[in-house]
Amino acid sequence: MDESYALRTDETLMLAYRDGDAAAFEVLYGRHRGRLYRYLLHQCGQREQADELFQEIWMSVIRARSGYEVSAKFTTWLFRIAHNRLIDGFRACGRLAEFEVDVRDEEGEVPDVPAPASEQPEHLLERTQLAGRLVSAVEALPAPQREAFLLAAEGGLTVEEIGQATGTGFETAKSRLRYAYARLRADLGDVYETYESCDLQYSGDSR
Amino acid sequence: MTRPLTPPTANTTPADHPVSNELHALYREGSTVEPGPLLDRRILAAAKAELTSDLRRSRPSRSWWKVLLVPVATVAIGVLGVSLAWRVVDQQERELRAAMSVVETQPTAPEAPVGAVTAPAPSDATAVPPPLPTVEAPVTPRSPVIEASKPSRSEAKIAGQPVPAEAPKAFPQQENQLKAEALASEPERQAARAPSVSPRTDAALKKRGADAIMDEAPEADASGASGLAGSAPASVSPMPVARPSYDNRLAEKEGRAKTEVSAHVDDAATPEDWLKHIRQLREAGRDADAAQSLARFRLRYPDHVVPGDLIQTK
Repeated sequence: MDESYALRTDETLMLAYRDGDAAAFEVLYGRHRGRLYRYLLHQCGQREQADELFQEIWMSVIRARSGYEVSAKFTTWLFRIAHNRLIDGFRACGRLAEFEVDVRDEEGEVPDVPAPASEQPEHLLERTQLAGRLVSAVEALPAPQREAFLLAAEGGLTVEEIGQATGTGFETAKSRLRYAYARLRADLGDVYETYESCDLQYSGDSR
Repeated sequence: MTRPLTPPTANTTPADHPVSNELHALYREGSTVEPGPLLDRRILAAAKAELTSDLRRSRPSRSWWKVLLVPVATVAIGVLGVSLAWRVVDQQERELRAAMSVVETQPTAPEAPVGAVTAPAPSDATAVPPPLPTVEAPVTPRSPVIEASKPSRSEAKIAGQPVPAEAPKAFPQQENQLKAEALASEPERQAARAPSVSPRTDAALKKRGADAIMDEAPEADASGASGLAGSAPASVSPMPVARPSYDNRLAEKEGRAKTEVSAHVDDAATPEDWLKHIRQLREAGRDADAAQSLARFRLRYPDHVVPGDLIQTK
């Protein structure tokens, strides 16, 4: 495959595909297939359902090809499609309640959860085990916060873009993300601090 | 042991935040699952199929007008051009033929009798007076329609025959005028050509003019292509023979054209008489003759309606 494809942005590749370049789509798909799949899998928790949603989302991208215009970042557009499909999927299987917003979670203080004793540094496992625990913690997050975290971690979206992708706006996205980080850190407990090399002195909202 | 954690600003990605960055890094280490290869193949195939079907959808609508417009227009212009050229060439050919027939009719037909008179036989050359100087009246150009037409009504009147109903003519006024001119100039031309013509010959000339339709054409037929030259000694007269009138010449010309005519009634008859004759031929069992006659009739009167019972003989 032409190496110049690797240098192109997602939007350029999608425009190329719109104009009939199948190779551009292959590159684009290769870039986002894993991210999107993991986002779906961690949101659904079931591989079959994730497969189905994954295929539906990419088919939506393919069908939307002819009318594609660059109105947002491709990833924002892609994950917005994914979010909508996910909501449809949750609604179909009666799990929509998981996406209902807990106002206290959205607007309240970030929970300050102490780490359990079993997860103290002395019980520290290998980093890979820590990563596994993090993934489990992510999956244990409430759906809105989980989505915000996954959009940030997998999609690389900014808070603003997360708000756009989920249709919630900046403030809500920021709140969800804050909550997700605090919950994850609490789940990981002090183990996290052991591996944290950088200074965590962040105070207040810089915005 | 917990400390407040603040998410990144709107302008930075969460990954830019050291805490979130570490969390993301850890998360990616723990989450490496990917879609199966079957799913990949299915999606990539669908993407290609979409392009193919889109091309198929767009091709006909695009090519229908744009592709066919130019060839169709080119063919139409070509056909138009060829047909116009053909018409022009055809018209020119007709005019040329008409002009040639006029030229043939005017100078040669009158000369032929004189030649016949002056050179009947080499042995009598001394006895024959030298060729007479011919003074031709200016020939008015005539249309082929007139040239090819059958004996005129005025001629028929002279001959004392009932006036036949004529087929519609293309230029009836022109024809009448031309024939009137021809009749008017006939005595002058005769006087100029044959000063030695006796009154007896003149009378015979008038009689010939009157009988031209019925008599002269068959004679011309009998004498064949060179009949006008009068190659047979019997046709040679010691006296200069009066030249046939213009109408006689018309009749002669028609007679030559009808060398194959088996029944003379065709030439003289009106269309109705001619059709009656064809019917009689059929009734007599001469179907071949009837068909031949009908074919000639159709040539002569192409615009005349042929009764249905006769069409069967075609």
